[in-house]
Amino acid sequence: MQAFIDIVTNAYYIQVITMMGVYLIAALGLNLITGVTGQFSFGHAAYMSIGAYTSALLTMNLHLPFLLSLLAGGLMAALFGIVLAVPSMRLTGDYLGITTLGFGEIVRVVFVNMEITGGARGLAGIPRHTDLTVVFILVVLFIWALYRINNSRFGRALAAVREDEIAAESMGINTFLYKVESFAIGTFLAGISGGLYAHLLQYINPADFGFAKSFDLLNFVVIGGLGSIPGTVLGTTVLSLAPEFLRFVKEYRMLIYGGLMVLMMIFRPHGILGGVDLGRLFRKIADRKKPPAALSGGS
Amino acid sequence: MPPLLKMENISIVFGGLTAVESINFEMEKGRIVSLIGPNGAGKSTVFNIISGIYSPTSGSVYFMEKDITGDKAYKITGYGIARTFQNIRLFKNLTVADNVRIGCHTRSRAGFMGAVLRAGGVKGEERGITDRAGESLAVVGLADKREDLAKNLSYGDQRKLEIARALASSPELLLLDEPAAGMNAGEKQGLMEMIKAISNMGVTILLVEHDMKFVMGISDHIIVLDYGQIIASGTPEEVQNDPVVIEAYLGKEAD
Repeated sequence: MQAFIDIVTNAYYIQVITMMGVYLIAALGLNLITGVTGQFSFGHAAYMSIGAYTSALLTMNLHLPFLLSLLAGGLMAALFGIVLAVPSMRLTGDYLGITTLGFGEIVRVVFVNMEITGGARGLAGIPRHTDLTVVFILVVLFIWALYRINNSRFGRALAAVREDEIAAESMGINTFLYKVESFAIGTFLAGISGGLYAHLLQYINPADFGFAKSFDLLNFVVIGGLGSIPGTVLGTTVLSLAPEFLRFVKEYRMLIYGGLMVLMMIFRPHGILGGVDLGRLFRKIADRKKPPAALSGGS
Repeated sequence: MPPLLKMENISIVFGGLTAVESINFEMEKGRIVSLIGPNGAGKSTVFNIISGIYSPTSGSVYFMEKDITGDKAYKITGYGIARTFQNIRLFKNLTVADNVRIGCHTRSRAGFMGAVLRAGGVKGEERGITDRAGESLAVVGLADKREDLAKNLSYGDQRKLEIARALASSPELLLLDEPAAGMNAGEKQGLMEMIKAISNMGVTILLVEHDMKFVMGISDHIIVLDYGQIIASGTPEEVQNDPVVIEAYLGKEAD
């Protein structure tokens, strides 16, 4: 029992779990773009960095309240998400992937060369505003919002875009608009995540948000289950905590993640929980027990 | 009574190939019209032009007297034209119910804010969508499969689901692209009755089909296409006995 209390109150572990929650928010955003709407986004960390720098500069230089600067960071990231998405929306698959990857690099290089962000030295002395409580509340809030999105006309339209764009257009869905909206929401979440990150570690520099970070986020979503919210939670939890408790995972992280991705693609391309819709399973069981009736009365 | 749909001098050229040329026809509300012709005649191309997937190179399309030429597919669905696809384009990993709910997209409004907040009428709209989806599924007889994934349905059921999904948008004009393909005689009979029932609900129907018995049994009017042009048009009896049509399908008698 004592050991349990020791673990739960240990500052280091609390930091690890808080960090995991921060990444989870960005991963949930990526899940919306790539898992639900089916659009490749290989530079997601760039939006974290936009949110991180924006919110850090606002709290440090303008002394804005933390939550407000967090929101501003998210909105700034979403703005750039839209700016990138609009010209790119006619690109398919691989080409969109390359474009998002390129944008990720551009953002990193821009921050390295900007004076106000501290260039390659980075930004230090960021006040510590992020704690487990804030992160926990935001994680719960965003998961709740994303579930609502999934089970709505908006979410169904996003899924339709993923499944078959031509059929979606023929059902009256303006696929361009919905793709851009999904990028806006997904990058907003990444921006919030970046702001939380900055005010947790108190120091950020452009190298933190390079392709390696984007690849980590992609792994959280893909291995956990593309398109599945519990899958993203599982993927982020397992892959964030594993390096902490298993030393070899820490040292060979990139190697192991790469290998895991390959194995997943071969044996279970949907990820661990991908394609598993618990809500649907429950409804199916409930349907079998009831006599057949007209479909009505909510879903 | 102005025609529901009017195609005026429609042509479309892809690269160097003229796929259809000088297409002129009118459809009246409430009719069942079939578009037939040998393979490659341009029937699906005509469908794709009406439904907005292709923009014609020249000519105009009028729907309820509104010029819809070149309008995007998602707008055309909003005007009241819905379609099915020849090679089935269902949302495979979604449930039967969700596929049909997406059919209602154009008759509903809630966006992302509505999804999260569920304020002001969004809940009512969702109930309405579910009700409408249920009605469409009942018309095609798939109500008991609503939680199945679309990809797990039998081929015949997938075709029915495509029709239910198109019906969900309460269209004025329904375009059916080879709805009977791959069906056996019993299924075709059921399909004919379903189409007649849909027509009795007030929906105007334009369909492409290869099965002549099916076409003759259900159509008020038939248009025959060959090499991208209309070669004949009339009632089933007129078209059946038209020598030009017979020649297009069977070739000329050797002298």
